[in-house]
Amino acid sequence: MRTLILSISFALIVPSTAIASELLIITGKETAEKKFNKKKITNIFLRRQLINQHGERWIPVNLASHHPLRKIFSETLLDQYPEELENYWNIKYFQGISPPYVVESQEAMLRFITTTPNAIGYISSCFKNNNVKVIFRIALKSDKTQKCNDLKR
Amino acid sequence: MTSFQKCTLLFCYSVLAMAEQSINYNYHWGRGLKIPEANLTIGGYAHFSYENFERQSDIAKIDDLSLFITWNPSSQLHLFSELEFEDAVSTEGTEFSQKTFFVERLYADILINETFSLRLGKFLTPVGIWNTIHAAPLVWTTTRPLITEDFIFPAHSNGLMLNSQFIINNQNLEFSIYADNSQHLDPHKKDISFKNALGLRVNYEILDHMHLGFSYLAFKNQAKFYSSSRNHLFGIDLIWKKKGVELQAEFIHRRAPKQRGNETGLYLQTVLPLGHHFSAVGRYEFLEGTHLKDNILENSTIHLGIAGLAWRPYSPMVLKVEYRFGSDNSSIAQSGFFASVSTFF
Repeated sequence: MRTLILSISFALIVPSTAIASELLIITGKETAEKKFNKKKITNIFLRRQLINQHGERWIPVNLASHHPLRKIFSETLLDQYPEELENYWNIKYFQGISPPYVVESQEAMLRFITTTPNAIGYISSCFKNNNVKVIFRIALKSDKTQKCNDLKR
Repeated sequence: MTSFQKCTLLFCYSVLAMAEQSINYNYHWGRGLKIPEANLTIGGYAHFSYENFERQSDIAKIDDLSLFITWNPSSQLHLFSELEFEDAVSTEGTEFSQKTFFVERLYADILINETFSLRLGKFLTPVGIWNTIHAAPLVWTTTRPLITEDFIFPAHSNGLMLNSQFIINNQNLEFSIYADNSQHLDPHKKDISFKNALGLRVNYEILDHMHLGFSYLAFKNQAKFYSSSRNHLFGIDLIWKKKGVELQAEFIHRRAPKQRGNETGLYLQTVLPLGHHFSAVGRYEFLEGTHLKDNILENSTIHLGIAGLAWRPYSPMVLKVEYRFGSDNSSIAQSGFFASVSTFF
């Protein structure tokens, strides 16, 4: 009984103190493209680059606007506040280009990425698993790190 | 019905036929109606304005009622159309006819590879910043800078354009070259349009929030005054945006033989956020040369100032008020008060 209580306590305590120190940009395992840099990833998410080197359409995926990791992603990778991006997407809409798909949680992000060819998304380092390929890592500055438990699933 | 209009209707019919096969759709204000199974999006924007010029009666009107149709039938093909009623309803009357209906844009983008794409059809002439994003919900003032008006260069091109995008020093460089043959390709063209043209556009991201652009355009105009001469237009533009502050500038020089129709002009615009989704807007404009507007030729040097306020309570919607004043401006850009409401839908 004592062991069980200790195990449950450990399980409850450890995630709450774990820190999301990195933002991971991920794709499906089958993605053949290997060369990525920050600019290229930014261009894919901002839909300036629509297809990959094989002529297949990139499918960027965003978290919901209220998700705390979305704000971190916008400010860290895209270097823009979400409100600034709204104006950017208005311009793209006028040019006939839609913003990325939106999923509600990091779990949904992982499901979408693993089942959709050429999908590209992001998760915190807390959610890393072996079913996706990490193509780029961004170390979060101390003011942007969060406890894993504070990032909604 | 002209072959161009038939082509437009055929395009609309095709995408609607595709849409009929699907039942799932979603609508988001400002992002249009999406039918995912058909890779189809239908949207647009509306623009209502009020103008009160000095020495003229005031007028309220629906400036633009635009419909966008976007269809991606395959990963490397992107089709887009914008159909528009312009000035169809105003306090001076209502007119829904060929005079007020325009095919603003109708083109196919063929995505050749990561770097190159080819655009075929009718598109906005890529000179400067304003002309390619001129939709009322995207710009900060109801009035348009003089150097972007169609008496300087026609707003639309008909033909083909090769676009390319490179990453140099970790910044984007976009390069476009295009050829126009409006004389034969656009039977429903506006009064001021190209006869033919050849153009070049370079846009370089100097910093993450700053872009520098160059434009060159050699063209013959349909308008009788210009028909015998080829014009050469050179342009340079700069935009910087950060945290709601925006600085934007464009300069153009258009040269025509025998000094007929030479124009030199610029505008400098600043936007400052005031909080609660309000922004203050200021613009200075200068234009010197021989202007042809409403079939009247005039040589003058114009200075304009625009002071305004824009309120964007929601991202797709903007309400604007502004006052325009200046010197030697009465014939082509009268002083007055302007207000407007515009929204994407």
